[in-house]
Amino acid sequence: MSFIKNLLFGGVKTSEDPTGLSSSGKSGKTSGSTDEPMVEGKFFPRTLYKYNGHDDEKIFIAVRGKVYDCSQGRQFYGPSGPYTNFAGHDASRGLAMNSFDLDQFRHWDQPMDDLSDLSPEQNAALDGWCEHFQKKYPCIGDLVPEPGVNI
Amino acid sequence: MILDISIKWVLSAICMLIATIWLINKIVIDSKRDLHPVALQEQSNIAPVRKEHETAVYRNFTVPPGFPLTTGLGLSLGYKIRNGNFGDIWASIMSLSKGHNKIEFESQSHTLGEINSIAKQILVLLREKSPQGRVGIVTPVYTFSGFTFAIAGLMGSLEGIVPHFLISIPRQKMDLDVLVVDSWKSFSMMNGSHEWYKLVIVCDDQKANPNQKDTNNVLCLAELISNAEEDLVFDYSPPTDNSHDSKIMAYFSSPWNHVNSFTHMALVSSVAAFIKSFPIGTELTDEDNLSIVVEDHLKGAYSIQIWNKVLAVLLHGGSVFFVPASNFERTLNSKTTLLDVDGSSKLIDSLSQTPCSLWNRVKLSWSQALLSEGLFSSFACQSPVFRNLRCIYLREQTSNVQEVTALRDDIPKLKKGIKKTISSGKLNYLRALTGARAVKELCSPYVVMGPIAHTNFFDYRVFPRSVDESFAFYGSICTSLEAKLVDTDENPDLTVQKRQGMLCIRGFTIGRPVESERLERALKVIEKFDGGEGWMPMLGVFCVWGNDGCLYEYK
Repeated sequence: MSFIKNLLFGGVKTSEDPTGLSSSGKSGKTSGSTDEPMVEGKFFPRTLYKYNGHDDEKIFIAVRGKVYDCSQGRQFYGPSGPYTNFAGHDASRGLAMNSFDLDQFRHWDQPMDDLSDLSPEQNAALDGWCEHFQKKYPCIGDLVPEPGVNI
Repeated sequence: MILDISIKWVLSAICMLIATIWLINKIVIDSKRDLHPVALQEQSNIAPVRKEHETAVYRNFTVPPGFPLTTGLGLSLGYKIRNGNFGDIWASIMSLSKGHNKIEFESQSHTLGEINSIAKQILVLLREKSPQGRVGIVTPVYTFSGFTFAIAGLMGSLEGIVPHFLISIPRQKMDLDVLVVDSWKSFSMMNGSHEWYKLVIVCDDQKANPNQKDTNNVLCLAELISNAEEDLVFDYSPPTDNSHDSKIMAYFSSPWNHVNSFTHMALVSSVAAFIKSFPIGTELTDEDNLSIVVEDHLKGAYSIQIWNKVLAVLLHGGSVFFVPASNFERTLNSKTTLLDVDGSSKLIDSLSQTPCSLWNRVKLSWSQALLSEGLFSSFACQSPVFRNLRCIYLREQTSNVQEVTALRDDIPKLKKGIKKTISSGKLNYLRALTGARAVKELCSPYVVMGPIAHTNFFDYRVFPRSVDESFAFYGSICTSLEAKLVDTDENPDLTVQKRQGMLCIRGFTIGRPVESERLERALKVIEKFDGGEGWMPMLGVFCVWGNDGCLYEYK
C-alpha cells in the first residue's frame, strides 16, 4: 500500500536503521542477537563440552590445546556425522590414532590428556591434523585444565 | 435494486483494487527487484569469533573466511597461478587494443599505440639516465604527458626504476635522477635546483626554453616524441620465480610530504577487485568507456587512485576519458558508460539543481519511489549525455586523511558533524536523474590503492533521516581487504559490543611508509593493534558495522 501511496503522492520507502544506534527506534536485528561472534578465550573441558552441535548449535573441537570452531564442517562433526564424537571434545588422541571411538576421549571431569604415550608416527599424524584444522577452521582459543576439576 | 447493483459494483471495484495492490506489492515488486532484501541484509562474511576489545573480522560476501582475498589476476604460469604485475596488464591491453580504444585528455584523443610508443621511447631514455634510480613525476597523471610518463615509469619499475609521483617540485634535494615537470613556467620556478638532477624533462608544447638559460640537462618532451609512431606491441615475459610481482611499483607523495610505496601486487589486487565488483550480467566489456572527472586540488590522489579503474577498463578493450570538472553537458563524452567523480565535486550539486519540467519532476519522483523499493528504472533520465551511462562511482575520502597518512601514535577523538557526504536519498535522486547505478566508495587516498569499501551495485536503500545525519554509508569491504573495528582509550563511548570502534584493515592494497622514521612509528602504532598480524589502523576513522554487514562511518 505504501508503494502506491509513494507513487501517487511522492515519497520513498525508508529501510530499517541498520546501525541500531540512531534515535529512529526502527531497527533490524539487535546487537545482542544469538549469532553475535564469540570472544576468543580460554576453554575448560567442561565449558567446551556443550559446543557439540547438539546442546549448542556451534561445534568446537580441541586439537593439541587449541580450540577450533568447526561449525562450518557440520556434515562431518555435527550430530549423526561420521566424526560427531569429536565435537565438544579434545580430539587429539582420536586424530592421532585415527580412531573415532568414544573411549578415546577423557570425560570433562577427568585430568586432561597429555598425549605423552603417543608414538612418533602418531605424533606426526596429529601434527598433520593440526595443520589441517589451522588452515580450515578459525582458532577461537585455548583448552586449559580447570583448577579443581582437571588438576 | 439499482442501489444494490451500485453497492455490488463498488465492492467489486474495491476488492479488485485491493487484489491489484497486493499483486503489485507481493509479486510484481518482489520479482522485479535487482537484489532481494535478504541479500541486502547479509552483505558481509563475519568471522564467528572475535578478540577482546575488537569486533569480528568482516569481509566482502564474495570472500568467505578461510578463502584467500583477491590477490591478483590469477594468471597461469605452467601449472601454477600467478598474481601478475603491470607488465602482464599492459601487455594484455596492447595485444587487445588493435588501435580501437583510446585515451582522451581534455578532449584530445590519443590511441594506446601512440602512448605505448612514446612510453617505450621514454623508457629507453630513463634506462640510460637512471638505470636503478628514481624518476620524479610532477606532471599530473590526468594529462597526456603525465600519463605517458607514468606508463613509462611503471614499465621501468619491472627493471628496477622506481617512478615517484610528486605533488610539487621538490624544495629539497631528494634521491631522484630524473625529474619530470609540466611546463617551462614551473621550470622557471625551480630557481636553479634543476642541477640536482641528471635530467629534467619539461612537458611543454614549446620546444625551446623561453628563459634562454644554458641548461644542458634539460630536455623538452616535444623533442623526444616528435617522431613517435603507432606501436601496438609490448612484449613481456614474466620470470619463473614471480619476483616481479613483489617489486615496488611506485612511490607516491602526499600533500603533507609523506611518501608511501606500493608493490605490483597492490596494483593487480586493486584491478582484480574492481573487475570482480561487477555483479553477474553487468560485467565489464569492450563497450565500456570510463570518464574520470578531474579536480585539480586532488592531483596527488589521482596518481594512486585512477589505476584500478583505468587499467581494468583498458584490459577489457574500453576507452578512458579524462574530463575537466565543469558542466557535464559540455564536457562528458556521450559514449561514457562508467563515470568516476569525487563525492565532494560541485558537479554533483549542480546536477541535482538542474531545472526540470513538471512532467520530469513527476517521473523523477516515480523513479525514486521505485528505487527505494529496490526496482531500478531509467525512464526519468533527461539528458542525452547520460544515455549510455550505467554506473557512477562517487569517491569519498575517510575522515582525518592527514592523520591516517601521517601515522602518528596519538589517536584522535571522534569529532562529529565534520564529514560531508551524500545522503542515501540524494544518491537515489542521482540514480533517477542519470538513469545509472551509483556506487559510493570510501578511499584513503594516499594509503590504500583503490577503495577500502564500496556500496553494492544494486543497493538502493533509503535510510531514515537520523541514520543519514549521523553516518556515511559505504557498503561492504572491498574484496582485496578485510577489516575490523577496535576499542580505543580516547573514545570510550564507542564500544565493540555495539560494533563500533576505529577501523583497522588488512590486505594487499595497502601502501608502506618509505621514510624510516615514519615506518618505525607506523610499526609501533601497528603493534598497539594486534601487532604482528598485519593490521593497519586507520587513525581517526571511526565507524560502526551495520547489522547488514556494511560499514557506516561517523560523520
